[in-house]
Amino acid sequence: MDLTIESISKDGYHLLSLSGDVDTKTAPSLLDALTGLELAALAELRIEMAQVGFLSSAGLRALVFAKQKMPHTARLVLVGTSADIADVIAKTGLTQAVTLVASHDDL
Amino acid sequence: MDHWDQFNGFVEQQADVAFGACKTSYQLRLACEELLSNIIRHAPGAHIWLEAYRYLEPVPGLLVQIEDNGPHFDPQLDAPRHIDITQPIDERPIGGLGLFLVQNSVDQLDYAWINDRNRYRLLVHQPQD
Repeated sequence: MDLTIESISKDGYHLLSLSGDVDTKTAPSLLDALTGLELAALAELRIEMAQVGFLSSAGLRALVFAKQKMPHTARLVLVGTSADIADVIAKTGLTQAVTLVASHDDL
Repeated sequence: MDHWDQFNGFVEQQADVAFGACKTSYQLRLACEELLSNIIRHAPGAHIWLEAYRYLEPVPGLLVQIEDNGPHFDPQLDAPRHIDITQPIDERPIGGLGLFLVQNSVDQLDYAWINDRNRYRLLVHQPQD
């Protein structure tokens, strides 16, 4: 399945809305979208995950890359992550790097 | 990557038929995706064979067998991989997650070099409700 990425600057944060699977084939496009941002200047990056059905280690690497480039005080927020994907994030110890919320209203 | 979606779609379909759309199916798909990615990285251009078998004994489950005719490459699947989840994110290596996920997503896993092919077998048991 392909991955669609919509990138929008919002007041106080940047939003990437993803739709599709983030796997070995599609993760490079996510990495491209991330490298296209001024990560070092972002206070908050939100990634809309509600339409993402699958995330492999290639996608996790893209998230780690983004968090490592962002300021220490910045937040990387995943919105609407499925239980299966949240489980993989927890298993790999990345819950310390991201904030998981069910919806934007939780922020 | 020509047949990437077909390979992963096959695994997803077989898992969904065997177990339904559940965590077990997701984990099997994840493990196969990570192994296929590993094969493509280490043996670009190799032919890959993918088969799935339902089994009933000793417990019901699904076996996925992946073979490739690339160079002999033993990923040491029986060697436990650990991730230090307390390590600060800034110090975390970018790589090393794929085979860790393979090992932690299935019930049984083995590798063999047979007939000039790398053969990986992944077994997952029917979830007990």
